[in-house]
Amino acid sequence: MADANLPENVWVVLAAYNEQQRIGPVLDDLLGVVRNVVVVDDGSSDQTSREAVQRPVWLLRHAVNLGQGASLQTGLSFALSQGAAYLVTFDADGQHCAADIPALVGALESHSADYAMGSRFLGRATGIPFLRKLTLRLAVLFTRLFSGVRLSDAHNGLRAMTRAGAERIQLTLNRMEHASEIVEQIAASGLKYVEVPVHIKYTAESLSKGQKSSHAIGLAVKLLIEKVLR
Amino acid sequence: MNLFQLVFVPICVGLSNPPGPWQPPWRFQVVFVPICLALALHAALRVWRRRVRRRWGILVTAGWLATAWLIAYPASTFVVAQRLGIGRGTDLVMYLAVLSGLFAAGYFYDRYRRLEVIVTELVRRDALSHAQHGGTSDNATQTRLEQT
Repeated sequence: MADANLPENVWVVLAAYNEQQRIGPVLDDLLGVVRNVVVVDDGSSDQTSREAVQRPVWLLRHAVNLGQGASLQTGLSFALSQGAAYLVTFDADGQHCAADIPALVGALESHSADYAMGSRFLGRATGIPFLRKLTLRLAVLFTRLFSGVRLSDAHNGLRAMTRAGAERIQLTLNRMEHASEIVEQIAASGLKYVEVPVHIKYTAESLSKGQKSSHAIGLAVKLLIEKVLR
Repeated sequence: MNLFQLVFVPICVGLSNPPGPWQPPWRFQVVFVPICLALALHAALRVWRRRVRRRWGILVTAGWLATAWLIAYPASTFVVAQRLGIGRGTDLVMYLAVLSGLFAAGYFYDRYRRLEVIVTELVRRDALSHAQHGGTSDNATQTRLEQT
């Protein structure tokens, strides 16, 4: 049963890659809050799609693995084509809490903003390793330096946006670099953004599969190359 | 001193004044000078047949000719290096090799990104046109959406 206080046209987009074990509980949690969920199976080799399609959600399948950025763009495009008024990006690995979505969408309405960015540092980050925390802090500095956007948590995948905001987002960096690209596009749009405290749960499973701290240097180098060559 | 005076004049002077007489070719030159000349001819023919942009084709042709010259007259790099203030000819060749490597890396990265964009677009269109809505039963609804 979806949250009665949420507008009907809220669409949640999840990018899922080999999430057979986790996608079910995540979708069950989400469907308790929102009605419209889009799962983009990013070329999984396991039963992620089969697990997802057993629930009343939209399933889009990438024929090959492209990356989280590409998957989110596919999901956002689909949700927009279905008339979404509010769009939420959500991780499929169980780190995010569906209960945070009403606060994110509510912030869009109460602040007349077009982007509501979740922040684990304004909210709670349960079980976050020290190295991950340090890397995320450095990412905040990097983002502030290159995009001029002052956020307390630049790489949080839990964010909400209005239709107007989503229409300004056109992710071209397919993999994890999209987290910086989306912040840059938000800055370039000139639209208003707010930060909202959210709760991120780190588990052994999510840490083993998610973005590694050691990848941060590679991501930074790729972003710099993109800036030089584009 | 403009770019032409700084770069092209020393190169032209260096190439037109090879130090020392022509030496009988040894094996490396016998193999690589004809290869470079053939590649220069190939590049020139592509310009002539308008298969590539003229400016780019002329640059590539000139590059292969210069390479052939430098292989035939290795000592001529010294003259160019001296005029450019680099010092040793080997340093000049090394700098040119590094610059060429960076240029090639940038060129191929750009090609890779264009290809990635095309593949992404194809995969995305396929995914959007085969959107499927699940349900609690096994009879999932499959919907073909209109191409947007």
